Amino acid sequence: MDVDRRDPGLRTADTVAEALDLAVPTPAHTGPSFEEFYRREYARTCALARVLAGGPSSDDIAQEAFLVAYRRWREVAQLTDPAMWVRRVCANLATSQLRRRGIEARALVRLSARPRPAVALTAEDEVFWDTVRALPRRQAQVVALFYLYDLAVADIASTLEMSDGSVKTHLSRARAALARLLPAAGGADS
Amino acid sequence: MSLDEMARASARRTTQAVAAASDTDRAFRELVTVHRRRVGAKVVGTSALVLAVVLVVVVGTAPSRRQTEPIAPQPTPTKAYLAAPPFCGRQPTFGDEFSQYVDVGHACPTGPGRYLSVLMGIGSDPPFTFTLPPGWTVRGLEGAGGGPIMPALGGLMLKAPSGGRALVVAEYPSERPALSTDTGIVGAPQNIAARLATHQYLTRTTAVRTSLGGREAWRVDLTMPEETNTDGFCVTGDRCAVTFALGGDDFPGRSYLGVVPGTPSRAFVLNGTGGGIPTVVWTYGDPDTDPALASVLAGLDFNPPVVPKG
Repeated sequence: MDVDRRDPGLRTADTVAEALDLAVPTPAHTGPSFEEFYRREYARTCALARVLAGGPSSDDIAQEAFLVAYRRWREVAQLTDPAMWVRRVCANLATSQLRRRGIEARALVRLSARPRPAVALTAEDEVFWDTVRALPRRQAQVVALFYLYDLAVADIASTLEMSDGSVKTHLSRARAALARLLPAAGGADS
Repeated sequence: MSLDEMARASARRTTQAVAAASDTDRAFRELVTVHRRRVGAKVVGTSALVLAVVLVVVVGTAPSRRQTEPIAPQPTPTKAYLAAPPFCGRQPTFGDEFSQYVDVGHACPTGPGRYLSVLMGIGSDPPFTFTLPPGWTVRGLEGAGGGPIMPALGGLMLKAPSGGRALVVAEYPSERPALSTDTGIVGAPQNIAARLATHQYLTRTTAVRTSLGGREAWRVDLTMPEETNTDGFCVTGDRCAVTFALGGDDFPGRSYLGVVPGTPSRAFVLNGTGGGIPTVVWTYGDPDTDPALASVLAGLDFNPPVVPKG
């Protein structure tokens, strides 16, 4: 097999660092505002990671998203909606194969030393979210944000940095696919 | 039940279950700890050693413009080590904190001497020291990865002036099998060495427990006949036997480290070098018959003194 060094699949270390978010950060704020934000958003962000990534490392994905926010809190705190930013980071981490593997690798090392059970869902819910995860990446993200956060189309569009029309298209296709794949679902609502 | 009803019910139950299982206090403490560890391990945690080294490098030559009070122990007047890449020769994109102490743009010292590496790659925090013999060069190895390719995190290559002999110290490049086990000992050094020792295309020894640079290690010797037709892409070139597949079944030809036909390799997989990622030391050449290579190998020290000795 002839492998081209210029293959875009082979990135430089800097890109890998960025992709894995391992770059040494700028100093973070440690003030109470981040902590309040964290306490308010942590559980739901974990839920988002849980449904989009599944498995015992999903908490680490959520945690990773908050770590990014923590390091950049000066900037993130200035945003109109910091929670939206963290949701975007979390959704991207949870659905990016490379980034997830990096997080999972570290999580597995940690888990081997300190077992932490995965959040148990009902069999019905596991089936539902398994099916969501089987959807194309953007569709899965849109579905998770739509149902888990009960966000409007415009808010999902802002979160994922796409147009309202794209969100509607992804949501429509996702619903159609879910209705087809989930026998228990009576059909997609409009 | 309609799909929407099912989805909303599932979302509600999932949110409740996750919220019930979440320990926000513990998670927040862990977040702060992880943040401090990442920054501290790579930057502050090595400050005594690093600052001593960089201040030795910088203060010894820096103009008086640096008047700020040092935040680390004063360096010894003796230049114990030279700074290894990436803190020489180019502007690092990580470890920018060091730029206030060291002129990161200065020419990389490639002459003989005792070197210290503080950030070999981006996932582990050795630090370690090595001795570069006359004529040899040291350069940083960039990582590779992206998309479906597993990330290799980088390392250092110490290269002889001729003969294709070299020694690579690298963070263990992830590979799919290591991530797909449920054993809880993912990527354990002995497992990595054991896999090397069963490589189907190579002549290899069994994995032997030994020590290197003051650390526990597992050693495997690997060779491949010159005439072997290989198709791998490794850090040393495009003709090698893949040893650490980066891309699993989808990209079987990519490997961060590999065996070059006709050049024996000795692999050491080290335990406990920090960061949760094993370190791989890999020779291109036989240390048993190459005194220079043997001396480089013997000069590795993964337990350097915190304060450089004069």
